[in-house]
Amino acid sequence: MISSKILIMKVLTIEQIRTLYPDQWVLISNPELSDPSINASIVSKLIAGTVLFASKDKRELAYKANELRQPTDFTVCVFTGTFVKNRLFLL
Amino acid sequence: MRKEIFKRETDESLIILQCHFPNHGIALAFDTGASHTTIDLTAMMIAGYRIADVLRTESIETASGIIESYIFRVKELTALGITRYNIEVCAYDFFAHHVLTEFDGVLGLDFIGDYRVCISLKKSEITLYEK
Repeated sequence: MISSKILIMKVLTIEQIRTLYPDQWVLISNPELSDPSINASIVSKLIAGTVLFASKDKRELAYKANELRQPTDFTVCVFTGTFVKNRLFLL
Repeated sequence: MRKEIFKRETDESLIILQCHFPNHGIALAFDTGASHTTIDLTAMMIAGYRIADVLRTESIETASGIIESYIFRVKELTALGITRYNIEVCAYDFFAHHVLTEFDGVLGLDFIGDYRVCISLKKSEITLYEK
């Protein structure tokens, strides 16, 4: 069974988001990002935002995104788990 | 001339760029070895694109083999301070191909074709010059 939640609108910090939705893909509206002039991963720059949806399955989040988002919303999607460290990429 | 600053965690890290559709922000790895900009299909769907919007499918060669990808016409995509309109972008389901990363795709050479580009890993900056 897929674990997913439609959530109450409230601005949360990234620490709160990680605690409440561990190891999940989280759709966040109106994100506050640190230092917009520096390019880095979104999750490393996310300070706070409003959680619209969270799921273990990114595809479920993708299907739900458009019904949850308000027309004026700007969103980002972050994964609250950890990625494998020290991976080498050959793109 | 335009300068973009990036931050890499280690010397082995990729250059991750903050990019965005008008309504959704994504992170793309800057890949000068990729001919085409390629984005995770789920990120495209979150940005509002649907499978019905696919122009055609194409086989693309990746480091892990040949993959059938969807070609979308993206209305607007911004990266490196450049906004491109009505560009074709490849997409495929990363998770289905065992790709789990903190970035949503790669920004390829097709996006920066109008610029001369200088990447300084030492200064952590990308300089773009209009041709």
